[in-house]
Amino acid sequence: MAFLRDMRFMREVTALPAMADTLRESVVRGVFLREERAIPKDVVRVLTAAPHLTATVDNELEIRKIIRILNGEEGTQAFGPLVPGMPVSPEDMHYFRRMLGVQWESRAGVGGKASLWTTTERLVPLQGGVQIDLSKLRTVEIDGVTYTAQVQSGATWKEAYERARAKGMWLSLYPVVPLDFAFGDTLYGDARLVSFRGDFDDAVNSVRVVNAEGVQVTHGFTRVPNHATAYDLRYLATMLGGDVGVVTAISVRLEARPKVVKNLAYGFADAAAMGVALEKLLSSGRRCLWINAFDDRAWAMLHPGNPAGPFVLEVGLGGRESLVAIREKAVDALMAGNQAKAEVPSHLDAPIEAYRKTAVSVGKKLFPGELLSSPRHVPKLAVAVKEMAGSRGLRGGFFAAATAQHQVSLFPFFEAPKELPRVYDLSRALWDLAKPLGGEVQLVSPLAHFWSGDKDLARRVEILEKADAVLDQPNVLEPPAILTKPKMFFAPE
Amino acid sequence: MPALGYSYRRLVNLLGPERVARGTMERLIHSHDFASVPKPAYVNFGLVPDFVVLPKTPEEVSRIVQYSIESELPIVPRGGATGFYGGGVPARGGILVDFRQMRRIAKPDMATRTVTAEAGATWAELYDVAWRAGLYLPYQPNLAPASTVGGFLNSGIAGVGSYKYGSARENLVSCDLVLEDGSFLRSGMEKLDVGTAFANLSPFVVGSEGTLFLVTKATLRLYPKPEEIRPVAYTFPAIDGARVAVRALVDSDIVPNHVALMDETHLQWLKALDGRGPGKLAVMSAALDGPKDEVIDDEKALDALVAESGGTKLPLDEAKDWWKARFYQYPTRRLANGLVVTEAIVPTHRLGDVIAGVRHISDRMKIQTAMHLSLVDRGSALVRPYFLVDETSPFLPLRLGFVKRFADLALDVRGHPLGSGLFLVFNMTKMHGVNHRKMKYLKRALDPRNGINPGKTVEMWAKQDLPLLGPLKMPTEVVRGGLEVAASLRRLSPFRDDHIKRRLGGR
Repeated sequence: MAFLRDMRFMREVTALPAMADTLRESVVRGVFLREERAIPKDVVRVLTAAPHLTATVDNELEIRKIIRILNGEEGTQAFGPLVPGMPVSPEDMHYFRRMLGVQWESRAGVGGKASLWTTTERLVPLQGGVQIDLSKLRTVEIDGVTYTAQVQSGATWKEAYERARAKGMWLSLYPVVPLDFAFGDTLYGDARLVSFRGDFDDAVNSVRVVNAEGVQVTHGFTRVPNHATAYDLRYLATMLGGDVGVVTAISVRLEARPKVVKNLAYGFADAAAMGVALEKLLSSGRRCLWINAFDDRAWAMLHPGNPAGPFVLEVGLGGRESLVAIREKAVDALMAGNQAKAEVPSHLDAPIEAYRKTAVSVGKKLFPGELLSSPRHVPKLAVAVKEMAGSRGLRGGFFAAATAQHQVSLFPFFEAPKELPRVYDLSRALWDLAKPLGGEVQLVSPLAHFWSGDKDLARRVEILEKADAVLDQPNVLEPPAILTKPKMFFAPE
Repeated sequence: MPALGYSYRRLVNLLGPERVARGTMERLIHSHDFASVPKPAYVNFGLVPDFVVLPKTPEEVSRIVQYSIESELPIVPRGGATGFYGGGVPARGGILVDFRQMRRIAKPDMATRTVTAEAGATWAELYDVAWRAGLYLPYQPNLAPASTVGGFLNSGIAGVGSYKYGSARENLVSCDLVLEDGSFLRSGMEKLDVGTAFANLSPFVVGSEGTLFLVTKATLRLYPKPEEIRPVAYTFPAIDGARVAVRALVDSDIVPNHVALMDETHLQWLKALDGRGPGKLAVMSAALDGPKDEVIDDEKALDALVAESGGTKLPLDEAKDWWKARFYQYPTRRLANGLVVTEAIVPTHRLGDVIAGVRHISDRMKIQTAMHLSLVDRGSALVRPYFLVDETSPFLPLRLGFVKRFADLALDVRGHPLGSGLFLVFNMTKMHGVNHRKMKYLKRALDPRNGINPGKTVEMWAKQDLPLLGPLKMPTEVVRGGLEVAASLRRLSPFRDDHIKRRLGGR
């Protein structure tokens, strides 16, 4: 997902002598908005670069071939140990590339392509090379015996969800913002899948990748979770996505499909009442399939013609009939202060076409970022988002999902064209909103990473860069952008 | 490398004489963990540290690391030493950092429902602190009374409660680390689990066995205190029946906190030890927690499900005893004078094959093996066979062939053995293939001096040096081959284990 490329690039730009006297925030703004007057030409060149070509692959073998070609390995078996499929030392690889005239410095590598973004695309595009479109890799294999699903990167979340349901299983992960994400978007893009139990990463058993040497490897174990097997490369693959390999498939854990599913919507007149109910529910220890929060605009997009109130809590309950009845009664008691209760079909269970139609209308909204928060701040954030929209003459709202881990993922949206200055302005406003809340609220977005002055973040990125150098020795996966013009080894400038 | 006497004085200057030990007894005590170590291992590995130090603050840990850079003595972090594979013992001596004096636990944060504890605090202490604050720590290691926060996170194993609440890894918010150069780093955000954003390294720390970073503090997620925690237990004529019940449970909507099985051999050993338990039967022990009405409903459903599988419910008092015993699983150690435990995670639907496989291997090797099993999630279970040994026996190494054969069995059913530490590195290549090599490079990249817990987890170093080449690195294939030979030789033994007969003096 080129996270490291973005971070490294911003670090280099802020360290440029030409930018030394400029405030970091102004640099970030100039780079994000591509303000040619504010940033040097070299920076503009990097930001406007594009891959040489986009390859839509049908299978993993094609990815292997692309990587081998970029590595200069195709048809070079005569080089002895450098046969395809065999990792080589960095020294050998370097020498080998020199010999072939394939320039390491040119950074001609491969990058994955997200099918959909919730917020904004990555800052720095692939600098030449091949962008791989994985949208045709869309097989979903549900293993009803081991409670796992092998989902290829191009398969959509909805396809996986429906396939699991058809096989009597339950994919507990679902998108907070109901867009028609491909599964790979969780790694290549910013698709946010959560389950009531926790985060996306917690449900991943393994990640299958074609690595930098063109070898197909699996990080983790397809059928069982990865516990105590030394360094967790699976997690690095989940976090860094395309930086450690072209991710072709993900194995996720499934649950048993509940016999009865009930989706209840509770309307609240104000955010404070909704917040109290949410906190009570999360502190009750009741297990739900999901707990979502919406404002009236978000709710209207998902359930047109079914108004519930200015603020809505949606609670999914599942299990045998007796258990669901017990839970419903208890949840009703916890939702004191609600002005309306209704049983509505979940938008997650809508037929694929209807889901996609809703996703298209949701996708037109501007999402500046995700606010991760402890539940007690949700009412404050809900009101602030409305005020933020009002003060700018826009209409705004939010989608939110709460987890048993006592965290809420809240995506504010605004009905406005997706222009970069507006994205920047709204993101900054969210950042300023989160900052004084003592670390209990955090804006998560590409811009938030650049604004963060956390020294530990810089150190962690350094550690990841070291890991990346090990896992991508040929420097072919999402290679970094360089500010100076590449120097060719053999060819004259 | 400076003389050890000089290093001792320097360490005393850092920590004071009462927190630096170099006496033979202290060093020997710190040369092994829960597992029995065969005596020949001491010939091969430098298991005995040169110094044992007990820091009280992260700053002291940092200063110790800085001294290790200066002195070139390796650093080995150690918690409660409840592991089974040498994660907390040195491979080549050095400074053993015992974290058990860093055991402060902060008051739980009710707003974020988190608690921060130092690496040396035990899970039992942490549980108590959370409980007193009106919160609940449902996920714990199997040896929670002695296992420390840092130790368990470094091991990365799923313990009690992971079926419902996930493992410690899933509930880790962030940790404070000391890096190989002595600097400090927070692995993620202090109060929020930011998933994979902000270069969150917290999940990567878990399972790294203290070979990349030294964990000094961790912030963990807590849960609301349940209205009811109800232990339930059932007996089955044999573990196969219990396995069928477990399979039905996995397919149902009952989600207990924890589900554990104990096989007939374990129960027989318990009976022979002090008359505990029902004797030659298998036991399934579970605990349901949550709101009282849900627990009551779940218990009814579970009773019906188990009855269909041929199980018999035990009275509540006995169920409570089994629930308490979840942290004290190996009293049977007293039947011999040592035991060897090995662990693997396997797909739940292959439990039958694994149980049969363990019996087959044990039978062929003439070893008497007992088994503990617990559910990790719907699709996977933790299987923990163990056998009793005489630690002083010169033939102990022959029995260790079982460990290798069991790991192979787990990999054959598409599971994996747990842990690497010092003694199980031989599984790594078979388990990870080409990724094993990447892990070695990763270690070199993140710890270029190779000063933190070296010669373990991704490679196996003997204590001997080769001329000009440095430490003797033991090829994993050679170790695997050696263990296979040991297993074959054990089959030639005319004696078959029978610990009960031995206990009863041959009667």
